[in-house]
Amino acid sequence: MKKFFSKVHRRVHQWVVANQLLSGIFAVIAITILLTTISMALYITSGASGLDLSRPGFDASRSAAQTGDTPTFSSTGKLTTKDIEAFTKLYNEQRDTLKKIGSFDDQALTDEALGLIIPTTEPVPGSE
Amino acid sequence: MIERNCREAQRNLQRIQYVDPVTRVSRGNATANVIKLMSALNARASANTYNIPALVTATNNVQRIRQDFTDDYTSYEIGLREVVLMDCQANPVSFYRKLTEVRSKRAILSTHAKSIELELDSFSQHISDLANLVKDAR
Repeated sequence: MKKFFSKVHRRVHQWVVANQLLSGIFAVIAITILLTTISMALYITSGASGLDLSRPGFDASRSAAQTGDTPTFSSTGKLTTKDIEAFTKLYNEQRDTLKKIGSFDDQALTDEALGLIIPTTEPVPGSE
Repeated sequence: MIERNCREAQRNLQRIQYVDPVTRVSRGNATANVIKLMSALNARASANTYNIPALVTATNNVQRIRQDFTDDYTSYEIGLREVVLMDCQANPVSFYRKLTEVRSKRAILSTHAKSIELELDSFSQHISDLANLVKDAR
């Protein structure tokens, strides 16, 4: 067995020395595949793939996602009643934006909503 | 029953799979904007020697819940993906078990969203305390 491996090793070494350009290309391709596999694994396990709206099929979703203007309130300077009023206005606007966005209502996953159970219209007793 | 209708359920779950990232990204952006505002007010109040610990506590709580929400969303999204890709007709029991897990994970996300709302309510209430302090200091 050892002899076999040493023979294979010698043959590979000879081939690499004789075809340096080709073996360089193969090595680059192998490294690329390895690094791509690692990055894809990280992309999926980290949950980034779930939020990536640039995936195929998410074109409509991309425009629906609200980015909104980033509100600014200075963290330095004197604080007056007027500033607090201005802050409250900005704060309430942002809260309204947040309230308009869905909050992962659990009704979306009920058996009925998913079509696992088709609601039947049973006759009301005594109606016949 | 599950074997008969599970393909339809998977199609509906797939639709949810397309809608949820939009909600997640939009909620993430809006919450980040609110936190930015809250932190700015806290910093400014502190620099002006107005001390309202409840404002800082509410801000920290929103940040913590947002982080929990982010982690739990990842787990939910992975679970949802698994349910959509399962061969539900061959394994109806494990399909339904997995679906139940996904429901619990979605319920946790809903709870986080409600908790953030409560903390924001609390912050709102304490803004008036700060306004009173500023008024008295004049």
